[in-house]
Amino acid sequence: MPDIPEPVATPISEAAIADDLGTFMPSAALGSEVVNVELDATGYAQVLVVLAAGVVRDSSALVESIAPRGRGTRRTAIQSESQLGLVPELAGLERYFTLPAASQDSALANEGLYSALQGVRKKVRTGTPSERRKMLQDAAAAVETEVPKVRLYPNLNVMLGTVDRSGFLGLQSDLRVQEVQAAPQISLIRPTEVAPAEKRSGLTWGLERISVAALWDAGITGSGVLIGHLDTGVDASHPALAGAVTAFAEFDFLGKPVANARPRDSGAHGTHTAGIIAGRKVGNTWFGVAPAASLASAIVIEGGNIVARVLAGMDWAVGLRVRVLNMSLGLRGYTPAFLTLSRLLRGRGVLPVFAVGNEGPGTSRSPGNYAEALSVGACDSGDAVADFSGSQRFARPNDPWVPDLVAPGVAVMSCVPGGRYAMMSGSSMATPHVAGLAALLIQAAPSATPGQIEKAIFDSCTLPIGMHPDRGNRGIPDAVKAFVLLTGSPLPNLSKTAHATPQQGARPVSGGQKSTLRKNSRKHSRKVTSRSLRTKRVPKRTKRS
Amino acid sequence: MGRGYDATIDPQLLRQVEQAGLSRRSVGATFTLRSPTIDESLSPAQTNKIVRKILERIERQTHCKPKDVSVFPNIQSFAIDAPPSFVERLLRQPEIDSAVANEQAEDLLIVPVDSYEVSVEDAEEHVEESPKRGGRRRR
Repeated sequence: MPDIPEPVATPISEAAIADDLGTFMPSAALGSEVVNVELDATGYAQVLVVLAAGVVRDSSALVESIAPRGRGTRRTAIQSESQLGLVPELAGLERYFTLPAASQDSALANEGLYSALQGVRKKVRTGTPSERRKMLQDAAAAVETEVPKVRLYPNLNVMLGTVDRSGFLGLQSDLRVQEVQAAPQISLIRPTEVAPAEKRSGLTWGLERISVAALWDAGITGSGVLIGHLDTGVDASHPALAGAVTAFAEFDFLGKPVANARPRDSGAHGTHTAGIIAGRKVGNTWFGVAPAASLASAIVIEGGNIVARVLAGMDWAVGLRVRVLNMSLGLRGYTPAFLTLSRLLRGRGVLPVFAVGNEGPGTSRSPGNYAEALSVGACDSGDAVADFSGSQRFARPNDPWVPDLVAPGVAVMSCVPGGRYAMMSGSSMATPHVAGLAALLIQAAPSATPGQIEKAIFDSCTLPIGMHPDRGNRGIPDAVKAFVLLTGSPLPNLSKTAHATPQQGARPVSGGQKSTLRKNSRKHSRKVTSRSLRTKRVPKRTKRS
Repeated sequence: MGRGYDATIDPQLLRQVEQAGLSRRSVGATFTLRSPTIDESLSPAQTNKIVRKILERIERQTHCKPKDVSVFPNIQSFAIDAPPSFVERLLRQPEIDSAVANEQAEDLLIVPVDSYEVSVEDAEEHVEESPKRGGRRRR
């Protein structure tokens, strides 16, 4: 790299600072900038409206006058449009708010209704079609799905709701409103548990669900494919990752590489996701999708909030010519600041596989929510989208919905530092399933472009019965279908002579006998052919390839 | 995004530049350069050259230099730690496509919602009923 002159700090005059600051926007306007970004991206934004002082004169009396609704409803003591009407000072403000279909409230309401209907469908086994229809209608009516457009918090003097562009402008010009800000993003905090030792054997349910073992039987194990793994690091000494990590890096605060960095994990997340991508066999258990693939792993999250480390990791991985980049990280909401980077990755022959986030319906994280990213949400072993899995609709013609698909992300077993193992749940666990699948396909078709790999994965997806497309989009991928779609050929029948496995832990293949792995696999695992007959076909969402 | 700027700018970065200007602290930021066309990208050599050119230009304009610079040539990006006036000038350069505050307020990691240890042994088959969303786990 050509030399860049050594930088030296020099004092700056007060006048120069004042002169430069004259071009800056005042802080209050920066909150509006975030709202504008959200409006540009999705057409809507959730906002916090700070009312002007004195607009709500007697907040305590107002709170007492609002009675809570009964059990099973979404209304609480201080929210509803009709209750807002009790405040004459705020008359008319509700017209600025809206409840689009893509909002988090709508998504949650629809999720509740959809789940209730699916619950009833499973129970309905007898009766005439009209009787079954009546049962579903009664179940739908019993579910309270009405959600308020706006919530008033009189003791705090604020309102919370969703606006479109005209509503935002209307609020800003209303004299009763002091300020309109982007609503704070609240994340769900769930407990971390440590349970007594539990026994596992065979394939994890995730590997079963996406049918990777059939590719292993055909000798497709990810051998020769290098995957970029940007995370908290990796414990490369773990038995499950023996020989998997062929490159490692870490970076300082400004993205400069740390000399002589040795593989380590600053937490446990990185080792767990690495294991899902390329974990080798341990005992009688497999949990890595591409158990012969190689990882270029870097610590880009240590403390977790330095962007230069992430960019440095991307730069490093691209320099090593990785074919897939797995990232289970991102900024909440939408920021276009990484769009060019995401396009660059594809231009460099890298398929970016990013997690969509864990903040639930109506939410997502950047860069996972770009059309340029292959965004992954989480499903459980019952083929339901996990309630924490993000999903959102954007105002763009190409690929408006995220995630692109869902993959196993609930109670996923993998390795953690210190030779141990853990179950974790999150879209972070789903993402490496897809990254590993991409690695298998790349071994099968080494000259395929990122777009071709992605299309094969997308077209292999099936939306299971009960999975709403607003939450799961295309559904769950299938490795066998993806292979056939990509190569145009069925999986090869290997000769009856047993193949020597070139890498430790790669699954042994013998054409003439049943694998012991299949013998130990879980009773409720499904075959590809029966699954394709049982699932519901829905129109596939199109995406620029 | 970023009124008065052609580049896409992280609002957090603008806030940090404003606040740092009052206290004379340096600001960390990452920048991505504009691609020649939507389908083309800059080569590593081009990236290094353009970054050098921009930094020299701003040094002439502001009479100050950045504390530190890291260039990421494979992804046409760079990171800088510099006085706020320097960073603010950078935001206005036509070669800049986007800029993000280096230090974000939130954790970038998508933290798992659930985590518990297990052990791996050669054993009998796992339970038939797998854990569903937030549901039971075998103990």
